[in-house]
Amino acid sequence: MPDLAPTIDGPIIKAGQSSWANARDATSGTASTTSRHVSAVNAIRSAGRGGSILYQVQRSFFEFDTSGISVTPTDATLKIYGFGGINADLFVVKANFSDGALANGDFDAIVGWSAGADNSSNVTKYRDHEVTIWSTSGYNDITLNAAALTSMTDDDVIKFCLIESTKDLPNVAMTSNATIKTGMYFQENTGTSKDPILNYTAAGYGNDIMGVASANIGKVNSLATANIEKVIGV
Amino acid sequence: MSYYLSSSLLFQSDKITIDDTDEEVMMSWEDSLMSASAAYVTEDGGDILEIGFGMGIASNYIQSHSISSHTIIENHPQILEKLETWVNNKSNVTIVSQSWSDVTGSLSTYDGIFYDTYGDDRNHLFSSSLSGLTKSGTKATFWNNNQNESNDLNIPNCQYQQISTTPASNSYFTGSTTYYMPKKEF
Repeated sequence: MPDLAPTIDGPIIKAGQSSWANARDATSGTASTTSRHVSAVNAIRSAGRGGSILYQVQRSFFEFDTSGISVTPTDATLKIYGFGGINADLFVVKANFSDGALANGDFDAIVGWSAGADNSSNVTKYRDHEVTIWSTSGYNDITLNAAALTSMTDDDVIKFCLIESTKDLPNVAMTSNATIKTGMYFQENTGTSKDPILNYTAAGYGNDIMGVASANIGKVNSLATANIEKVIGV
Repeated sequence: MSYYLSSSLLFQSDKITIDDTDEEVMMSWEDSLMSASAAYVTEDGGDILEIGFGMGIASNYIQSHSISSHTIIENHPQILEKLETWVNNKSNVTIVSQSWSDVTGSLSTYDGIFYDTYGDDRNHLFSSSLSGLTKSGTKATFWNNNQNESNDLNIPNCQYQQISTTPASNSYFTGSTTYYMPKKEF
């Protein structure tokens, strides 16, 4: 049951907008590296000054290095430690943000995204159902679907976007003031006890190892490290 | 609790922002607008009601005029801390640390009213609340984002004084160098 640590993570926000569309359909926001955020995934409509209304949307992005996975895992779970807000339901969808680091222009870096549209059916969901229960006292285990397992196998990295599921993804404009937010820790938090994790179950080796049938791989696995050379050298 | 009231604020020399989002709550470039607003609501002296302390710019100007009393309503905990420091040695100031809409029934009537709140989900109630806070001759003004002779608080029959200003980069008053200060006399 290997655990992968994120290679990139963080939220991108579009805040202080005078309309829902300006926030939700923006092509850029403000990316940040932070240890944790009380509203890492959000959709907010609030009062500004002088009777004005302000909208903001925040999404959180994660990347894991899956280059070492060549056989489709049996299962995989994205584990996110909760913090702060708990009332935003969210979807885990396939992202395509910049390599190397999150950039402001990655706010809408979601595969299949179309500004102004209900993207519920346009995006690639990495979990079949939205996440509706969120804990702030431990890890939230998000079981991933077959599409995620395929990406983990086929691609050198897997990129996730966690997006609010009732307003943001389906493009349901907020018509009254409300704060919908879910918070979480990121890898920048001190220590590793609350870092995001991509956990998966390896399906076993895909090929026989020099005559050792896949069914006997367990025996190979049990070889002492000192003897592995003998297997390699066979 | 509203988004704003649960937000952490960042206090800088020239502005207050929401820590998480960098949204400006109030900025020092508004000084001349605060000065004009304070001058209008204190024209007749007497009892002044100020709703929203912010950076305290208007409060200082109100204090610089000859008035009898100055009631300030503020409910963001971090701004309240600033207000409680500011009020030292100001004997005519009363602080009300609640939402204005929760206390209007227990307030008096005033000679001048200045309303400038942020994150106030009940600002749509302000217009209808004015009748309980005013008397004949009361002068009221409020922050106005609109860059014409209108306001989003639906307060009717205002006069508007145009004031030239030079806004610093901000997210709430953009695209114009003219502020339309509402002037409402009851």
